[in-house]
Amino acid sequence: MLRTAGGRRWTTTLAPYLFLAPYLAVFLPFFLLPALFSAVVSLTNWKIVGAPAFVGLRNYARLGADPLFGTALRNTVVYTAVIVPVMAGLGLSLALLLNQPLRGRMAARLAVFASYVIMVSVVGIIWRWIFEPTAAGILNYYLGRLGLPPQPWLAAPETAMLSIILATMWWTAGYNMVMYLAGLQDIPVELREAVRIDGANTWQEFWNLVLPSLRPVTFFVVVMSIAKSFQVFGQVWVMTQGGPSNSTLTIVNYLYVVGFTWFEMGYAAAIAYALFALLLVITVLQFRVVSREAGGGGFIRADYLVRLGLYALMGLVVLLWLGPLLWLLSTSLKPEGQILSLIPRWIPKTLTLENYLEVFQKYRLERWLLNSLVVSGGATLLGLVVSVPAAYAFARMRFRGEQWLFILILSTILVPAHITMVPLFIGLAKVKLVDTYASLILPTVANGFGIFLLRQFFQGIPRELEEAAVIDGASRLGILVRVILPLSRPALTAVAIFLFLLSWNDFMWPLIVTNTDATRTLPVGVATFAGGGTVGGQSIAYYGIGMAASVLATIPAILFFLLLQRYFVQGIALTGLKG
Amino acid sequence: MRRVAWTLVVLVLLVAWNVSSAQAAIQINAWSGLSGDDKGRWEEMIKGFNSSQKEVEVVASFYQWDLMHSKLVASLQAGGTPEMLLMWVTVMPEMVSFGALQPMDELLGEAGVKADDFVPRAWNLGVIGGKRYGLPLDTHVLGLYYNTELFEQAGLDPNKPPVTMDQFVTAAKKLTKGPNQWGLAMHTSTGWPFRYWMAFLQQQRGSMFTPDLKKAAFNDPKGRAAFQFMSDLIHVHKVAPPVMTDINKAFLTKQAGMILIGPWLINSALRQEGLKFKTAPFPRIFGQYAAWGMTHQLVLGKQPDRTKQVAAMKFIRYMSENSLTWVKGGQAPARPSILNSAEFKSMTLWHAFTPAIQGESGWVLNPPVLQQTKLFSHDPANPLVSAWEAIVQKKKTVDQAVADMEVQVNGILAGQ
Repeated sequence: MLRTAGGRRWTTTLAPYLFLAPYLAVFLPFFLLPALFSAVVSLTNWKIVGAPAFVGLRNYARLGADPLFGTALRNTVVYTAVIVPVMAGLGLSLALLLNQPLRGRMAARLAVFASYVIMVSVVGIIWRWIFEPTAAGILNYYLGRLGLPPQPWLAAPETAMLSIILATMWWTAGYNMVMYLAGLQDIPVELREAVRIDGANTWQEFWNLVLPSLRPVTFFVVVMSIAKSFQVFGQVWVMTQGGPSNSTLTIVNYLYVVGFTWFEMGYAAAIAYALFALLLVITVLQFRVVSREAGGGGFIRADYLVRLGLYALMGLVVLLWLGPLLWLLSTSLKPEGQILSLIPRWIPKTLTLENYLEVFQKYRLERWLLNSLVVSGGATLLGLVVSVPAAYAFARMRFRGEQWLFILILSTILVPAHITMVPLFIGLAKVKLVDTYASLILPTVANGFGIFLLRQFFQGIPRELEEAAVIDGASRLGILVRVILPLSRPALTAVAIFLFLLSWNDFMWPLIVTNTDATRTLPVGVATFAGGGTVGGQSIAYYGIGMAASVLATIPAILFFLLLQRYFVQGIALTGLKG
Repeated sequence: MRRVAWTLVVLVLLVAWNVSSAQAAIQINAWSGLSGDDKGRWEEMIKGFNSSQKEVEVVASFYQWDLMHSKLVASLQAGGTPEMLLMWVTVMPEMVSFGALQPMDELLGEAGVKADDFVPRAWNLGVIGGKRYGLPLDTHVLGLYYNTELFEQAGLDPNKPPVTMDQFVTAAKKLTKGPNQWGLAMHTSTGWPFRYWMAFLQQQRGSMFTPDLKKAAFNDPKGRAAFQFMSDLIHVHKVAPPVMTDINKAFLTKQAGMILIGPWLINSALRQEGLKFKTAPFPRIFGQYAAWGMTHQLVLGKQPDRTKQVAAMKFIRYMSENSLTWVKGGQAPARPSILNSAEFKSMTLWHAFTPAIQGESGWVLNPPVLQQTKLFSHDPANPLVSAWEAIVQKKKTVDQAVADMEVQVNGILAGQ
């Protein structure tokens, strides 16, 4: 009797840690170690090579006196303040719209999602094109047709940040849309029906049911977008490099210049940890403020006229999102000598496949594709396998150090990746892991966003379902596998999609850690001829080949999305909660 | 879900099974930051080298330049640098100071490389602190591209490109017709404009730094006149647009009658449908000829294996000797043998960008200060970039901008 009780206590205490162990085994070497290393570096004057000299807090003191850091901080705060609410609203609106039973909603979802799959270097090329400040820029050309004067867009300090925000909206709206689509599937059908029987109108239904029940998702979306916005880098770097007049210089932008072109890793690390401290405070505050409870929800009801309006809206969405994508496609089908033109030409004068042929002839695209599939597929599978039990532990178990551990895992989202890259690379080089699949897969697996997202969803699942299973004598693991997982398909799908994309689109880390075609991934391969080497606004690459290659690179990710997106139509409302 | 998982598992197995083949030759890793046209040429030359012999096999890697430098330094720290790299000559002093490069003086004789093979200044640039670290693969200076069709329409003689300040401004004025056609396109951000400014300073025999490279020396009438001329093109003569982010595209789409840039645009311009253009030397706005330029150097990474050093030198020699392929991609030669070849002599569009033809004394390179990346990069954190931006946006007068730039540059030179 005593022994059984003791044994049970032993397993209950240890269970959460066992659930966390697989993730921690990746997290410790691939995130925490390099992160701690760079935290120490921030107290030194390390220039990557040689022995670092300890300088105390001098790097942090320098932050206060550095006008460029001040500018970067201000720009980043402005960017974040605009983009976070806008993107949350946009994501929710798109999800609500494209969750309606409209014909062609799949295509519309795809149009929005496809833009998120485009590599950042190509996003830069397309949007620099659209935003060209002369009267012949694509946007300015159409403004001119409407009788409006040309705008300087990226070329003037007054409009540059706004332009970057617009391009970012187009590029990343798919992320929040998918999050909200997954969240909408979580709303039990009978609650929606109950509210309607009570006579609530569409607006009341949305305000009193849908929005509250989306709270866990909104929380996740807001925390994630604040973290991501504070670390905005890629699109700024390829569009303006922080200019003109530092009007778009962001913190990570500045960190990159300091660390990677000035080699002042000590100061760069101080910038990173100042940013981390700021983000940590913001994130912890968010956790304090937001309640964890989730209610039920429903869908918007639509009568005939409303439905017509919805179709019009969907048409607009398709047009706005498809426009730049069609430009990409159209460019890839033009001969190189016809690509640049004074008046935007959407239908190629001469239609050609020569760019595509050249991509296949000149480059080992099939090898890069295979590498990308292995790496992204591996990261997705392994990521899910380690995140699911860890997220379950955080959602349902109470254990010592729970909060601290969660914050530690959240810091994988809050510490700028650029600062852990160099120590991670050096470490992997020392153990001869550079240029291997493991070096590409494991750092992605160490990212804690999957745990965070799944925890949000798991918490929303009614405890009664589990209690029933406990009475039936199921173990914790049994509950997780047989009760929780079947109920979490939309969330698992979302995590799978984003783990896949995180890895698929990752550019800078694979560029650093690969040496040969044996491991080089698609974005790295493609970037070497699609604007990856844009020097000071000099577009010296072949446009056509670059565009053709990026069209090809987009296809597998879109297929992956197509394959998984049907899980957003069925949901837990259908599988778990009926009856 | 399950189907996806299985597909992935099968793929992983396929790849694991497929890995790696046997190699007998000495393997040399060659790093560069090339992209686009240049990358294609580089790969073509490496293929040529690998098939020309059996002892050495070269494997090429491509990064962005910044990342290549960081990765080189990080690899050095981790204990393994690549055997060979392509590098801008201006970055070499910093890399040498890190101990990342291998001196090659002793290896030259063995590889059969001698000074006579190269144009003098390009050859001399490879020496840092008395030791040779690089061999020039190419050279270039900026030059003038002009649209002969627009020249004719404007009543200008397409065989007489502008040379003096008067001719240049007059031509630019005549070429400027409405918002879609400008005389000249100049970047309103990035590092290109201050490269013109460095040339204009040199044309007046002014200096950027004091001879010991410790302080700025440009806050004088010459430094101001150089920026004033550039500012006037936008604000007084109104022959250049006040916002411009891509001068290459502006030239290729006939929005600009003239641009000043390097030889790498020649092939794109030749490909561009309906474009008629010629090239000419960088104009002598302030009298003497001077134009900003650069050279890529072939260097050895620091590593102790002498067999690999010798193998890498063999490769370097091959690349140098066969650099006509490289030059055709949009660079100017570093070897007299190529300069004097019938083929290059017929490539007249290239001559305006060739220091050995235009006079090596007018070839303006970044002064060899250690703070290269802080002073000569394209990002607006750089004081030279921000000075030009402030002038373009009329936030500062030329005098103010040059004065502020002096303070900031002195700060950087003092190691702040």
